[in-house]
Amino acid sequence: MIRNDSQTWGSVARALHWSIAALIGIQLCLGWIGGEMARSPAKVNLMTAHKSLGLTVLALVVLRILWRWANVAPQPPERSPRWEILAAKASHLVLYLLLVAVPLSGWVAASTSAIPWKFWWLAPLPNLLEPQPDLHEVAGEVHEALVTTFLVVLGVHVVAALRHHFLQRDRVLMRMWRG
Amino acid sequence: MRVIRAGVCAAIAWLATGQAVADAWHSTGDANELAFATAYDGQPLEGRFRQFDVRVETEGPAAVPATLAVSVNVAGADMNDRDINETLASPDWFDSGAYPSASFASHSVEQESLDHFVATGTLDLKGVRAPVTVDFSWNARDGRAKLAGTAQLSRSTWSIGEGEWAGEDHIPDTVKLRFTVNLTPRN
Repeated sequence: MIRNDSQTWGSVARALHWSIAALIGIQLCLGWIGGEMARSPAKVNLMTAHKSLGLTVLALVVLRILWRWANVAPQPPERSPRWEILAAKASHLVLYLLLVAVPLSGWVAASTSAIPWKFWWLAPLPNLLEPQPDLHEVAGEVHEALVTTFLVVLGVHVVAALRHHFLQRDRVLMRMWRG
Repeated sequence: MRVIRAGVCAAIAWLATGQAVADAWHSTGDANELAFATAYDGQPLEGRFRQFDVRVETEGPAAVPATLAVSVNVAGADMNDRDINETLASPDWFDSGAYPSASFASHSVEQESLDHFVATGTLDLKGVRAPVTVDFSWNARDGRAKLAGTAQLSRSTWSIGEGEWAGEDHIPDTVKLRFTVNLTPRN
């Protein structure tokens, strides 16, 4: 089943969810390692991978949001309290916003730096802005703050999924895993 | 008679030194530019030195350049990026803590055409002295002069970009310099 229905997620939504999750894991490692590295050609290469992967994730996120709009979303489990449904909606909305804002802030940070890079070492992407040292610093700090916020909300998301699976013993986690 | 001879000699000496003692022109104003062009993985990159001084000595009433001297504050190397600028100041690059300034002094200046000259001289940069050729145009009029030109340097000669930055894997060895300088006479 490709599309979602009222009971479960279709294969496209599941593929997008888990591929984005896996790529974000790699992305976090690249960003953290790059932040610790001394300035060198190896660091420039690693950061080129980080920038390329970030924009790849952004493209997947855009596809995912479009697919979500074009589909029904599975219903919350029956007898879910109203606060849980609201909390789930709010945290999903924040996650979607951050999935867009984190790569965009990274793109601004990369654009305001004079360090040149090519998307997957193939072709340069348009810069959103001209190199500006002061703005680059601000963009870098915003990027990091957004990542920290993302990790907090992701923590809530993961704990909630595990609670559904192990404590409430419903299909919320499994319908994203197997459909 | 002796007085006259002495007077003539003094006059000749005065004229001779008047001809030989050059006018010295110094860079002035803040519209001067000393830019350098390089690349990273084939993508062009430009930078500039924010602080430098140029001195040109000229001969004769036509103010023909005879010497060219440039001193550069290498700590003022600016590529419009803090990461890059801090890297440029580090020991692998200009090591501007240990070698804060660089200087060029011409040994000879040849006139190629009416306003085009070639200066050959020595560039003292990061503790290394090596020859450099500078092509420039010179236009002096009404007590103001404009100097514009180019030079090419091999960065490895002066150990600019050592360690992991050495070689041409990412950054070419040849760096192109470009400059535009306004000068006024000052003796």
